[in-house]
Amino acid sequence: MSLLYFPGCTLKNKARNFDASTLEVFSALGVELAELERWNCCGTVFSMADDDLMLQLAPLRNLLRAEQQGGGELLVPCSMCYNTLRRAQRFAAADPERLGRIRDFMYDEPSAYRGDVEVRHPLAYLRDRVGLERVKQAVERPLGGLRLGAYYGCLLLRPSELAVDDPARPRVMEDLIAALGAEPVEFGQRAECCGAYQTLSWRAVTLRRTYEILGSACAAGARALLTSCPLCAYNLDQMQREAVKSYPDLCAMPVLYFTELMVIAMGLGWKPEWSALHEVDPQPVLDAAGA
Amino acid sequence: MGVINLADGSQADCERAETLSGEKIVACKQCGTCTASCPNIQDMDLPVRELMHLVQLGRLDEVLASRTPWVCSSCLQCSVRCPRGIDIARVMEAMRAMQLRARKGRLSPAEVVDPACADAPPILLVSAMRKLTG
Repeated sequence: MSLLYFPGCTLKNKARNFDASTLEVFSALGVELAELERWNCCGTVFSMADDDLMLQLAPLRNLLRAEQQGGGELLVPCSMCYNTLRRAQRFAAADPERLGRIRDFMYDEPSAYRGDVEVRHPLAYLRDRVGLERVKQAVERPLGGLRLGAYYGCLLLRPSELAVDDPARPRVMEDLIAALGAEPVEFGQRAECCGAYQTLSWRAVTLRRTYEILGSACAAGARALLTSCPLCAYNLDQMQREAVKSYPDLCAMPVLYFTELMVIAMGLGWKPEWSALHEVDPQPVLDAAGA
Repeated sequence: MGVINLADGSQADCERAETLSGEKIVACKQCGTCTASCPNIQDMDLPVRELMHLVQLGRLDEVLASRTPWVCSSCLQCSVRCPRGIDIARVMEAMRAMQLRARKGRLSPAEVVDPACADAPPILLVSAMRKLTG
């Protein structure tokens, strides 16, 4: 079967490993992803000012594109894109007058925005549509009980209305880790913010968040972290080099996209060029699978 | 703690913040769950609970002079935990919007060209510019 797919800017750039591994994993599970045509930046952050309709157009135009290309479900792996698209959709639907004005802004489109595309995150899709049992059957190189921490961050869980799982006690990523033959470890900071865009503004905030999140995972026994957000990946992985200068006892560990872990466990072939996109070498995770 | 005076004009400033955020700010009862939930609180000069109270009092000048709205990273922990159902992150966004619309941004694009940011993912650059640049 075929499913519409929205990669977003960063998956075509610094997170090429996330894009490629998502395509491979879904293909191996019998779902061919069809990249949305003429997609644009989602805006990255949802505008929360009540009167600012212009900033909603970037995400909503992508949803309109999906409607024009068959509609139904749209798979969005990047946590930032997923969150922004779904919140913009809810914002537009909340008030008929607002929806009318948004449609007026996009008057030059061949069809009017309806808002009925279902934005899906791969973690929820794997759990609800593919089934984690089927994922488990596709595992060829189980991860030898490697202890891994699932880092959800903010955008998969908040606001609650779009959470991919129970926002207070999520377990979808832990269940996936277990299906792949590794051992999930829960840690206190798994749903706390990584500092997000403060990396460019209040850098001390991000450095401390990086230190605290890694420390929390380390204390719980995790040897590596999983994420679905390229900004979390940047703050938790690439920023380790700088954070260790402020926090010499920082617990270093690799940070992988959950789809990369699936590629390893399903024996789909790790691409050497993906290693270069990681700051901390993910080799220990590959070794655990004998890959 | 100040008293909310409905007759001295301070109400207008609070209402301005309520309109922009779409939130019922006067409903805040000062429990402090927001402050306790904030992962960035250590870098804020005005705790979230106190910010909410100053907005209720219409003392927006003090709020806008603080760095707290800029240190907020919109993680929504305060919003999902507020027992009064106030989406506090939207109030923070409204405070930023007031500054940004007055062309008082926290971040200038010139700073972002720093070579240290050369390996930054596009979502970092775009989100920081959208949130912090006037």
